[in-house]
Amino acid sequence: MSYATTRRELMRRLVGAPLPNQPAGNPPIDQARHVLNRATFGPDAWSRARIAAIGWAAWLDEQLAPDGIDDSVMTAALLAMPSANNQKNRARREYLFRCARSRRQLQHRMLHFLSNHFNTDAAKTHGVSEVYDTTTYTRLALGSFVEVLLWSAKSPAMVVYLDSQTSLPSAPNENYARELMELHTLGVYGGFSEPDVVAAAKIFTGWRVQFGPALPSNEPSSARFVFLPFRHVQGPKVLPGLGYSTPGYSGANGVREGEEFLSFLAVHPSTQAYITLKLCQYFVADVPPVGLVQRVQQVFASTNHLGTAVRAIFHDPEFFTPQTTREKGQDSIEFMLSTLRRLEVTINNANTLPTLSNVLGQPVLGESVPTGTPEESAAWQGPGQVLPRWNSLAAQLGTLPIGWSALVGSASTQGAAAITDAMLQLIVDGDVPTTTRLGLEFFLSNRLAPLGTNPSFAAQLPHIKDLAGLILRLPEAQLH
Amino acid sequence: MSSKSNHEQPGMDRRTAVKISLAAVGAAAILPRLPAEAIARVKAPAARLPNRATVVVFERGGWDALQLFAPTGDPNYALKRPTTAIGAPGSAAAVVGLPMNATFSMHPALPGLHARWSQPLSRLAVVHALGYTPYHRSHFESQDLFETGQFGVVNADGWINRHLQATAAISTAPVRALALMNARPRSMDGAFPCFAFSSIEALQFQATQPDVRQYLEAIVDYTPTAGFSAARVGSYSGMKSSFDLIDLFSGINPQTYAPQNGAVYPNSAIAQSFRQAAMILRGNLGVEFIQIDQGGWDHHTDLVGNIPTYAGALDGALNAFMQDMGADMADVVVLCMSEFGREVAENASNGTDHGAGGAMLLAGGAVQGGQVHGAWPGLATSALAEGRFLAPVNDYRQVILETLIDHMGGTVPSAVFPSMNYAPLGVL
Repeated sequence: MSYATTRRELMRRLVGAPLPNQPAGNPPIDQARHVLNRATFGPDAWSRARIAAIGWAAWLDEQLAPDGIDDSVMTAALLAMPSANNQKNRARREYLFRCARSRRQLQHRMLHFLSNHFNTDAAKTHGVSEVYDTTTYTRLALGSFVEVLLWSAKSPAMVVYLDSQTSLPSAPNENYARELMELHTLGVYGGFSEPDVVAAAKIFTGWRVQFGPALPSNEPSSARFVFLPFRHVQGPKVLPGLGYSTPGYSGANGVREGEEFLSFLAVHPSTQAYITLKLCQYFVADVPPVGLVQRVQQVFASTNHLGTAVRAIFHDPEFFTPQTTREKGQDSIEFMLSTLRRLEVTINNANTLPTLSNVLGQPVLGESVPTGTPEESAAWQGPGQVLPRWNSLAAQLGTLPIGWSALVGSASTQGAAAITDAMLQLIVDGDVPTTTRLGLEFFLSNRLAPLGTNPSFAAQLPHIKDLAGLILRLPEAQLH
Repeated sequence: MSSKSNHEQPGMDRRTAVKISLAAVGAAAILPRLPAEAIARVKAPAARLPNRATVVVFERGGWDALQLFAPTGDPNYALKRPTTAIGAPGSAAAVVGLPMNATFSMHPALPGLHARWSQPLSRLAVVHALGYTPYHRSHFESQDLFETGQFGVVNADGWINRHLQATAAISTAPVRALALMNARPRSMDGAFPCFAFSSIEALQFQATQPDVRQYLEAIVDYTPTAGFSAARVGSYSGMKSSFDLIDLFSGINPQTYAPQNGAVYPNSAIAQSFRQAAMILRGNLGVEFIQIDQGGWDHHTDLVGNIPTYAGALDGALNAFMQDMGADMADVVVLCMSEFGREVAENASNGTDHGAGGAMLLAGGAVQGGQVHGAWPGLATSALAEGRFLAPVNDYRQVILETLIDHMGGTVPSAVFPSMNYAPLGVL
């Protein structure tokens, strides 16, 4: 008997033969649940209650105007944190803490998108402006794309990361020019040519960072963008592939060349197509429905506004399809954040968050290559991702500060089936095959059996924790 | 890096695949055999390890082949790199190379490899001016092209995977190829099951009690995934693979592994990956391909400061691996490749921008060592691609095919690199 057969036999014993097939047809989609899964890093009690109270469409509009949402609890907690030992560590912990605890979830989902799209590596930049970048990308996250692009180009972290900092007129450094067109705007087949890279590199000569005096670690960076006219290649520049040229401004006006070029790139049709597709992959599916992408692209092309494009995604008729619900793999940071939020884990020490992201294999603000981390689910589903999720967060769930009694609620006195359902609802919205639910119920009832009738909550708790850890390890808990 | 499908064979679990390949061996008489062109031309001594193996090291970022294997005998070299050129041995330059031949010098941060280069019957060689045409100067495009070897094909399989598909009948090993990294590299993408994990230490299941694993495994294994989307199937497949790998590698204990021949692996990530590769190859599991990445070669700035760090890490790692493997290196070839070389002229940041032709470093097996293989187009401006880049006149795919045919025991060239004529450079 092969090992696989043994497993199958075990399952048959667990659930009793014959096993029920999946019900035919597609169950109705719980729209609020799907919106919460994609517009937040996993629902917490507050977001569940809020969307139940006002409906998903009003909830979305509220999220799209984040300044109107009271976020003082998160802000106060951030201010109360002890000093980080350096800017890099501060940036890393604040990024994760904001994403976990802000009520402005959609804004932070866009921070996660933009921070990855305009990736910088804190190991190379030493956190020169990542704290500032995090707050700025957050502030601009649902606004005009050209504003975000202009910020990214002058962000001290970007200037250092893609080497504008050391570019000189005698032999301009091409790193930023190439990645700007290939990764930030047009896409690799967006219509630029090699001579365009050479010319664009000249446009961005003189774009530098000036470092101020060293500041206490909890102060924002003292690094500031500066334009150095004497480091700038003078004269007109011609980009034959894009059919674009600059008049060649002199003196301090030389910076306008880059600003105008960025504005040109921001509204280029290739950019609009590329940004739209990435947004749809992020919010909808690895292979989003073509019609949806086309409709969103129309909206984005006419507005150049990220918030409007995001709204179009969620309101698209093809957003709520069985093919797109719980069919998107979470990256490891998303998996971590959704666990923290769904189980309402108390974050006593935010410094532990970046460490956890390291353990999970996705160090926050630590991706070294300018592409950022991949969007496709498949990149997050191999043993390289599964094993650390199983062995860190899921295995250690029982040791985290979690208010189990409140989470389990009245189910704790109603036996294994009720507890299983409550935990499934909490962690995966109850969205698992029937056989899985049965298997989990058997797991818990086997564990609870020796406790006799009406066991105390304290007696049940270790087993409830193991059940939660088991659910967190399921394939469905890796998706959202 | 992009990874189009990290899950293994949707719809077919790995054990089924193993069973099918077992059945294939039993029915070998009626199965099509490898074509005559694929018959092994083995030149190395009789195998000591249970099987031949290839370790691929992808040097991500585009390593500067003109720093590592510097053409110090080419007068254009120092002219085009006034600040950063490596000096010829014995010259008065700030950084002086180690002699390879009349044209080339090795970077001084590669002393261990240089010693291996210089010894009699050397098994360390370089193919210079290496790449493909038309070349691409984007990291991500060029890495994809290197790892798939298929140009203009969307979602192409990787070359390792296509080789494994073409030779499916020759091995029943459950794992023929693995990557010591978090995500499966592009070279291993495709229908043949290939695996990636960061380290052997990661292959474990931690829980308060054994029933957690028992139930999880039963659920993952039992749940019919027919009708699930690719993303959901991928999550199931990744978990099945995780259980399989935990079991398969349970016999290897990294804590007790003792390198042989006095080898000491440094603490660098690349050295620790080589250490893991050594214990896997010695683990009698039939693993034929191991890929390791060494990142960080995108040196747009400060070659003088940066190259020694990365070259030194590679030198320490590969040297320790070769010492550890000792005589068993006859059964192992190491291929170190990068997506491109860099522009011949340095930039104003004392670095170099993306170029075209680069170099591959080969070690082990029956590699014809102590030689720079392939044509050398030189660095005269007229000989450079676009007047700026080392011409990639030696196709990296020929080196890979030669390795698969002469070292690994044969392949189907047209399956691995379609639409290419096999013309070996004679590196093995």
